[in-house]
Amino acid sequence: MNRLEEISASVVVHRSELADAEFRAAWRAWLEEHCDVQMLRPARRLAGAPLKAWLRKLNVHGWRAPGWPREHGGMGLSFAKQLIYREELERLGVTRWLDLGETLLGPMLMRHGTQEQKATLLPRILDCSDFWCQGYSEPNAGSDLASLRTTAVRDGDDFIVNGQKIWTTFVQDATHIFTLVRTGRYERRQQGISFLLIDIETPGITRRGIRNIAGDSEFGEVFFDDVRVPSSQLLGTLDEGWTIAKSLLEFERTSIGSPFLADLALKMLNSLAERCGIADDPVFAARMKGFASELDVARLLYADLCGRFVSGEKLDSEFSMMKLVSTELFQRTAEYAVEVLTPYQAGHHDQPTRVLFEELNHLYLISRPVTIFGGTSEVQRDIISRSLLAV
Amino acid sequence: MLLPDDQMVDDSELRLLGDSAEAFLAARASSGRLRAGGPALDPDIWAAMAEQGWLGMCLPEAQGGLGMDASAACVLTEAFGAALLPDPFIAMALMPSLLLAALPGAGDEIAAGIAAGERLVTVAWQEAAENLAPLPRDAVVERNGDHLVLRGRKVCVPAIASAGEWLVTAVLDGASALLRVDPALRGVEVEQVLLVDGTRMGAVSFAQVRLDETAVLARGDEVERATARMIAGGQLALAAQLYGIAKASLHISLRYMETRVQFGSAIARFQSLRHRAVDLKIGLELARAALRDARRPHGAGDQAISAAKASASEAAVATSRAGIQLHGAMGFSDEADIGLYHKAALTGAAWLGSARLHRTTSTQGRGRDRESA
Repeated sequence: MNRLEEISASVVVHRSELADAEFRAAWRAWLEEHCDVQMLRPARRLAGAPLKAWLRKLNVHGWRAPGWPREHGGMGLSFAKQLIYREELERLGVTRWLDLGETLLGPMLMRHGTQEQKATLLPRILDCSDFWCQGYSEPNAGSDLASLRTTAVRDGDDFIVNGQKIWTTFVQDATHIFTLVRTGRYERRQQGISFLLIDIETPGITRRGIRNIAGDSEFGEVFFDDVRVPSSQLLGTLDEGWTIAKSLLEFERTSIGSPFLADLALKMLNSLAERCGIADDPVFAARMKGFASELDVARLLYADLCGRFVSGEKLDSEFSMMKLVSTELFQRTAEYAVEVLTPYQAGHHDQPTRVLFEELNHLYLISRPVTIFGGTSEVQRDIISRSLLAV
Repeated sequence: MLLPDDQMVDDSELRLLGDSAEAFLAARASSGRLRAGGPALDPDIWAAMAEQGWLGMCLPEAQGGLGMDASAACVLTEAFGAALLPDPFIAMALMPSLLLAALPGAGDEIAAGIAAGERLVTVAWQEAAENLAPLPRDAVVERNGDHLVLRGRKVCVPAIASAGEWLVTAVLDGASALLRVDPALRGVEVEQVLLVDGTRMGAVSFAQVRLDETAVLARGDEVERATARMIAGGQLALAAQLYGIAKASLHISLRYMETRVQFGSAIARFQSLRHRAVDLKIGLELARAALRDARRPHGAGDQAISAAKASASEAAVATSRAGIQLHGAMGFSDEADIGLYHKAALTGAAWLGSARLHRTTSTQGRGRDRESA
């Protein structure tokens, strides 16, 4: 351990044991000091070099991996403190980020990885030596993930992988990809799927970015053409990868339901309506109050669920419901904002209004896939209905 | 029978209250009474409720009550809603109790009579539909020699057909006053309005009604404060009743879907119906969260109560309305209970402020205060 790591490690120990209010204050103060204007664009998400620079900065200052246990280099925060961590980011309007190595792969490694996998891979996630993307979806396996067809065939000490993954977020920034591949055929389609960790630079892999309708190239596709992967890169048991993929760190389920983006859309709607002079229109004002009231109640439900989750209650379909509430409210708010404000966009030239309109248009476009990824709203409704109905 | 929500009841005293409500309601089915279209208040049931101590539960012990608050009454009203009990507990027990409890000494005899189930009292405070101002304006009482004269008009007076005496708010010498008024007095005119669920509300006109000085139970700012407290408590209890209606409506619709067979399978297997059921469940969960927030022990603000009333009203109407559709043609028949739930939902949703009104109130000013992004 070098001197810097020693300091940050001692800070980590300290933070997880702070009282909740002190922890909140410390995190808030750090964010206020370290977020420049580029880090205060909550409609946006970090990507590329700025993303890695930010993650490294968090790591150096002891604010990285809030949910990881301390023994693996994380902050070791309780669920309650992890919620505070996220609340402060949302409150301040910090640019969002996504690191699937930290939030998905890390916890799965801790639970299912060998000693060697844990020892080599976890530290490299924390300091961003490795940046992971997730290879689950395929062109014909989206919501119906179990129908995936990318294969891995055993050849001596290696697997030979052939197939294609798509909608892989941050594929261009990634150094590695964790994948679900078919290694066997059983009656239950979920069986025979294995979890394979692959270096993205392995010969036979080609990547292509896909531009989304918001103009971002966050996701892309990956082609595997006779890619040779050492069998030591298997995570968990052969043919049992589905179980691993399902065993997400439970806490992650709470983040999907946060009404944060709906809140952001409503704030933008408010602010732009003032600038465009329509805030006092009675029809508009009534709609605004309707959205604000819905958001308040969505927040109450979210707070209630998080409180029950923190106190140890087993919640399953509840967070699926919360995802529907938050994503659909986000969409409706953004839809209304675009409908009512767009006619005024070209009439307002001042710099702050122009920027706000650009942010709103971006926010509207990124509101489209929230009811698609992470299980479409229709699939979520299927899942919830199983908890309601006996047939 | 649906138990009050466990999430709502974390107090052992309230749990007992919920248990006794369950036993009480299990022995008394309401749907037959509702279909027969009889009076909302059944004297035997009212007497049994008095015996349970429920009618005066929100009166202080000194006035013959149990000293509980409106949040505790929600345990009962949720169960009443789920069981479709038509007896006007909120209108004729809870609201007059809350009013008199906040005015000690004013009408202790009346309070004791309410608790005992012997005096049938409703409160005439509202002066315009969808106007929840606790301050009287149009109803005015003036001195005339040795007596008083009351004039003006009250609307949306609940349980009008069941009440034998009224508590009326009016302006007296520029301040608020609470009066006891006998409906049989000369100059009192009542127009009864038949609501969709078969219950009645009244519009009451006072044309120079002569009262003596003893009719004035209380006066001054405390009357306005007591009225406001009564309205808030009534709204909270009504939100719980609507939540009970919504919960039961969803429950019976889901059970129907599981048993009704069409095209060779239970209709609960059909995805379009399953998704509708999920949307109703989500509305119910939102209402539950808002109601739970409004029932916080340290006392919720008016905005929290408005959010609860709005969410529960919407959930009750939406769930019972969709429930009719989920029952198919059976849902349109008088034989199915879902129609009774829908009518109860419509009536409850419209009383003490609609969802539209409360949506506006619950965020008053807050929407505009948000900082820009």
